[in-house]
Amino acid sequence: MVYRAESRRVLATLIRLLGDFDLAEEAMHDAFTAAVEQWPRDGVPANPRAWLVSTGRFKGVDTLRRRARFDASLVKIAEDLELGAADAAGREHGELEDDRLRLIFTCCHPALAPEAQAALTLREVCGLTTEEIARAFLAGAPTMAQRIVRAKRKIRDARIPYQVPPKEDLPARLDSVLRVVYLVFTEGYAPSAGPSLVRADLSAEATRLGRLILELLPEPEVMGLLALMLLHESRRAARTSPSGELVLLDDQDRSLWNREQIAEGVALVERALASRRVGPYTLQAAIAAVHAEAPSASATDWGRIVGFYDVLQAAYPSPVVELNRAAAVAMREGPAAGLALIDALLARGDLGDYHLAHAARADLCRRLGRTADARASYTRALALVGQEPERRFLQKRLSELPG
Amino acid sequence: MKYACLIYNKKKDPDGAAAHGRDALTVRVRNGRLSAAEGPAAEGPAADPEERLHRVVLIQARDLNDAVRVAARMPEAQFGSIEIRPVEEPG
Repeated sequence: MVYRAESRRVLATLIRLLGDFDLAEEAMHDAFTAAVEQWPRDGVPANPRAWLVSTGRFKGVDTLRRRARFDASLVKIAEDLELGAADAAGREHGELEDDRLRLIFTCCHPALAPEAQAALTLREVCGLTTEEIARAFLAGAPTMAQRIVRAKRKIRDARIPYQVPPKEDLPARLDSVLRVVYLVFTEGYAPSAGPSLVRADLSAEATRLGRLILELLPEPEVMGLLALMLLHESRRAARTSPSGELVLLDDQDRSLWNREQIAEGVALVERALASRRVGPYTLQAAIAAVHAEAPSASATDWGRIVGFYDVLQAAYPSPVVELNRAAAVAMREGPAAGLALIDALLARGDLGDYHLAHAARADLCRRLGRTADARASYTRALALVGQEPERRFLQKRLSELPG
Repeated sequence: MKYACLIYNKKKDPDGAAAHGRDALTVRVRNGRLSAAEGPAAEGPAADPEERLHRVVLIQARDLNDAVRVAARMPEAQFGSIEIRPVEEPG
């Protein structure tokens, strides 16, 4: 664990100093090998990280020099790096923390495919192994390894700068970073196939990453995303029954919710909302916070939830947001009002292939006693559902409908 | 984790053909550019039909991409192909 945390910091700095991912990994490896040999003999240096960085830099320049014997174009680079060593040493201190942020922005650069961004971030920033990432995304290890190699080559070929983006680019670039973090989180949160432990780890990894980014870059949307993840995470124990069945929000045993995570999430939402620069993650977190603070489904402030959905829909329109809003309206005004909204949404053809739209419609029809309509919608949802626990849940609901 | 590197080149005749494997990843370095292709060395667009299995090297690496790093340093990576496969440890 110490190796993992330290090695990521050292790597982040070496990439800046050496200007190349692969060379930096090589240099870091050499530095750790040297540490294993020297520290037991000579004692651990006063500042181990600084020792690893300077040893790594030395090894990296050395590697370049060796390669330069075969490739003259590298001579100049090696010389420049050596010259740079002197003046870089002075401003080293403050840059170390920034290096981790640089690494995050580089791994999440929009020139890379989204899957590659997530894979690279998990490996280079979080220190997961290729095999762990492959398992989490239900891919083969060679596929994942190839993706990572290509992403690094792309960074080199496209000369993607190793920097925190300038202020004017920051909102868009931060979006891309937050999307990766949320993608990692949802991969871990959705109870689908695959070894469940590894996937829970993935959510924890995303939360850790969110904390790190917040520490380095306290932007409101970073608070919003971390809050959203914590508030979702707080319900994890209540989301599945002991036998592994899915339990819907309204039916969850709220005493199982993690109060500590809720308190932290709610505080973050309040900070983010107070900034008056409110983005989609903060709004979703605000909705999750209303749920988290309600003693029961019926005692939930549905009016406030609908209000947040209105803001979300106005600023970031999406059919999924409309669907969720319709479900909230159904809770506030009754199933008929919600059903009218969902039918309008389906009539537009936007969510015809989305199983949750049909599942929501089925549920409202069931509550209205429209059994035949409910049956048709459950059947449609079952034909579209991908996750096993969700399938079992829909099957159960369908079989419980009155004959 | 241990990985075996199956090293192919044109110079020596094979003792036997490598078994087909989904777990295989093939590393090549050409003109200083590293590539990693899913699948055995004998398959895929970059496969050279004249290459023969030359030797097998067992390496220790943190993960598959770390194994790629080690393989890319082997001299044969520059002109041959290095196929990496995970090794099951007995026990």
